Amino acid sequence: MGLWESIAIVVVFSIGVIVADEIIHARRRKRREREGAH
Amino acid sequence: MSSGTASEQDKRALYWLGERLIDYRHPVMAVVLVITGIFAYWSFQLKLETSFGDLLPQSHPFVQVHNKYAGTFGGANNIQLMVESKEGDIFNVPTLTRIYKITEEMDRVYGVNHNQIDSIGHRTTRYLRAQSGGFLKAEPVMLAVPKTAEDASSIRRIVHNTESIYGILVSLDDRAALVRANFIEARLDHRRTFTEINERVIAPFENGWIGALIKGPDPLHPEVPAPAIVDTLYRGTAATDAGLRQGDTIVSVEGRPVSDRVALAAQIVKHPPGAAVTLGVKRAGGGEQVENVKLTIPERDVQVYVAGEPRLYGWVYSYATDVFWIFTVTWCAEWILRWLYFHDWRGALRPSITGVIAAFWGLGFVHLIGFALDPLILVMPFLVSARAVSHAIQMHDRYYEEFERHNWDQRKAIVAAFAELFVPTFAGVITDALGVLVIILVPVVMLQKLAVVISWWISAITVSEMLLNPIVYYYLRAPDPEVVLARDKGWYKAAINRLTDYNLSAFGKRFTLAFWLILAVIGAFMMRGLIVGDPTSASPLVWEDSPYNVSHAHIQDKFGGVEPLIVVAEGKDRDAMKDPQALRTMVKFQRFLERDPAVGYSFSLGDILRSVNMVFHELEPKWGVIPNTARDVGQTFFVFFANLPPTETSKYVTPDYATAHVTFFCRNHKGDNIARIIQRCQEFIRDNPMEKANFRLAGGLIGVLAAANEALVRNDLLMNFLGFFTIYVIVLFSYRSWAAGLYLLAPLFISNILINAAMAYFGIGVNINTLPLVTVGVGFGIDYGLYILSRIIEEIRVNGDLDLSIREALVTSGKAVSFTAFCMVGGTALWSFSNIRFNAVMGGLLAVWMFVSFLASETLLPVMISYFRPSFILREAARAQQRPAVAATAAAVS
Repeated sequence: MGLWESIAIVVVFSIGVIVADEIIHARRRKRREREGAH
Repeated sequence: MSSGTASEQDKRALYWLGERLIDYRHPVMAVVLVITGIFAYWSFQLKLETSFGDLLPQSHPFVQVHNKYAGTFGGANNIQLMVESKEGDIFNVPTLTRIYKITEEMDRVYGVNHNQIDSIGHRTTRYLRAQSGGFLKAEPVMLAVPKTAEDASSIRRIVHNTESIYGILVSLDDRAALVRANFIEARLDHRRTFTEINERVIAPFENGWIGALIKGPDPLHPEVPAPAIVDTLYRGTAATDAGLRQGDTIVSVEGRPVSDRVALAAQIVKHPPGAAVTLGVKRAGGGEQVENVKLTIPERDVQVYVAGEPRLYGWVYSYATDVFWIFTVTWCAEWILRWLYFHDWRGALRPSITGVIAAFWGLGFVHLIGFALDPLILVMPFLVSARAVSHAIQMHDRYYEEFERHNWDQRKAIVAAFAELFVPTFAGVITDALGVLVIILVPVVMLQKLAVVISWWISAITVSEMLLNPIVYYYLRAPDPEVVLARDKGWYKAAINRLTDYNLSAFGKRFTLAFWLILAVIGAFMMRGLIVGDPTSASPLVWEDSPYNVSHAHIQDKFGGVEPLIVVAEGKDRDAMKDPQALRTMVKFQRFLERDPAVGYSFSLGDILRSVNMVFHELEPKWGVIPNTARDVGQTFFVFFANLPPTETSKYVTPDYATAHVTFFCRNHKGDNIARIIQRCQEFIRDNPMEKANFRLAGGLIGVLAAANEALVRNDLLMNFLGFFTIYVIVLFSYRSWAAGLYLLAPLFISNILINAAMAYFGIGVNINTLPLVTVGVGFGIDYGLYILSRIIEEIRVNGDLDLSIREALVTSGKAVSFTAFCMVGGTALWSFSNIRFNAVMGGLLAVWMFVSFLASETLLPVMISYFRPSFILREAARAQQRPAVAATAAAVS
């Protein structure tokens, strides 16, 4: 593994974590809103 | 829980600074980003390099002798290449041809000192030949490749009759030959040497050998392409079986074009023995038509082993790419850990920003000052980055805490986190930076450069962590309150609470004190086994079963010893080396030191005289003596050296015959062996003075390692003392207390004992590479204690109760410290899987160090404070009593 492959992997991985985290929190918010509406 | 109001009064200036940083966030950010961009650009220009001279204590007298005579008598950078015949001896035409060609190719490797190659295939390795009329002449053993079996037999006879060759360049069982080449230090390029030896010296003659000698480039016109033309074919080999003929040009292997001998070998080695490959061949005189020829890859009939410092570093460089996968896995693992801890991507990202900015500043600075990274100190950047990340984790945790406390007001939380953690973070950073800077006192250039670089790098954390922190938080959207609250609900928090309660119970306190006391005593007992220098004969830089150590062991087994110790006999005047008394003392010195089990054999000018004398007397051993007069000595020298150019004779004696050397070839460079050999040398020199010359210690690998080990012995204790002293002084000023330093240093002292014990137990010697890591470890271990102690003081200023403050500090800052410690340990522990044993061991040791420091800071430090109730903390309780109203407010808020 070289320098640029390594950088590419960590950047993609980090973006993946951020996106996954946002999706999880968005779902939770929606669920809370739904539960609040009920 | 502390009160923001009370603290705000104490830290007005810091709160003001936090506010201004947010107000002026755009210009501050722009300036930092521009500077970071410049450093980032420089970072990508960095190269991995090792400068041999930088590794040596240049002021040491041994190194000065080495520097003065390395160019003449040989230095520490030797490569030993052994060609071993798998069946039978080496005295047959194909094997001797390969030894000759290997020597020729070795002579062309970049950086080789052409006059310091020892091999039966090199022009400078000579024997005495009696000529008609009773004249003796020193002639090269091989002037060209042998053509016939008679030529090979003649070479065998010469070798067996020449004392300076048999057993030294050809093994006593006739199955192996040694090619020894010395490299010019200023031209050392480890990567290039490694590649050239692999591709040009080994591959074409070992596993790329097909049973035919392929023409190489014309030495006088190396730039002219030299196609792979079959020069000589040997009977009964794969090449003759395939139907190759002299003059054929091999143009491809399995359809892949090959341009020359090196390219041909590179293609052949890809196929296992027994595999059938198709060669594209242009027949001699057959024009451009290419014919396909089936060749069965032969079994290796010779094995080539290569050892020596340049080769070792070549292997280290080839393994240095480990850093990329370790970095990738560490980064990803730590992101996941931080995300799980903070329940939010900001908690994963924010420490990374700190780490990356500090890394760019650090690496860019390395390039700026003209320093290159040594592959053996690659653990250090990881450790410093892990430290930067751990400070950021502390800050992020505090930010969430303050966010909750300030009723989800982001700006107030940012400013409060910045102001409250400013002192412990700044003290931690300065402690680390100055702790490392003391390494500058070791008179070794590499360590001095390292001290400056790492110190700067750590200092850069103040920018990335403290200056940018409020700004970055302000740019990022505030986390959801549920995310912040979730931190107090998980199993991790519950575990910390339980462990804290247990540790602070009456039994827990006694247990903790007893546990660390017993551990310290055991550690102190075990650390007596710690040695300076390398503890084993194998190189500790790579694993014991690595190709390098396997080669090294094979060569040592076959030739007894190949690591030189050069003792210079420096004449007081010209012709001093013609004095029989000086020469006899040198020979006596050889016999004296050869009794040491770590010395394989030796060589001096006296050996040449003795062998010439023997040749004069039909090789009768009793005539192997030094002549009695300077005139006879001079005549004997004349016989041997008469027709040699000064470039060849100078490796034995200077042209004015003033100075020569005694070289001892040692079996290994174990630290205790080196110390004993040097001590014996000094005893002999003291008891056997020469009238016309003085012995001067010492060059060669063993000589410079002896110097490095002596410098380490002198500086190791000094480093430890200064490391602790620096930390003590900083703590003294930070907490305005004589006792604070003692409390904080106690866990570190125990960690230091235990890590030294671990080094002794695992057979890791203190050497030039371990010294900075040990000192850095001392500095880095203090941070855990600083965060906990600061929090205790902060809490007692509010609630006035020591035990309550200790508990509060442990479940808040202590929790963040524990997570930080796991991240630090994770950041270095992955190095344990490196192919570079040195990095693996140091990564593992530092991980253990960080863990022990954390554990001691988290358990021993609070228990000591609880037991001894230091006045520098209790006096802060008085301030809480002065502010009853404030405390009451705080209690109400909490």
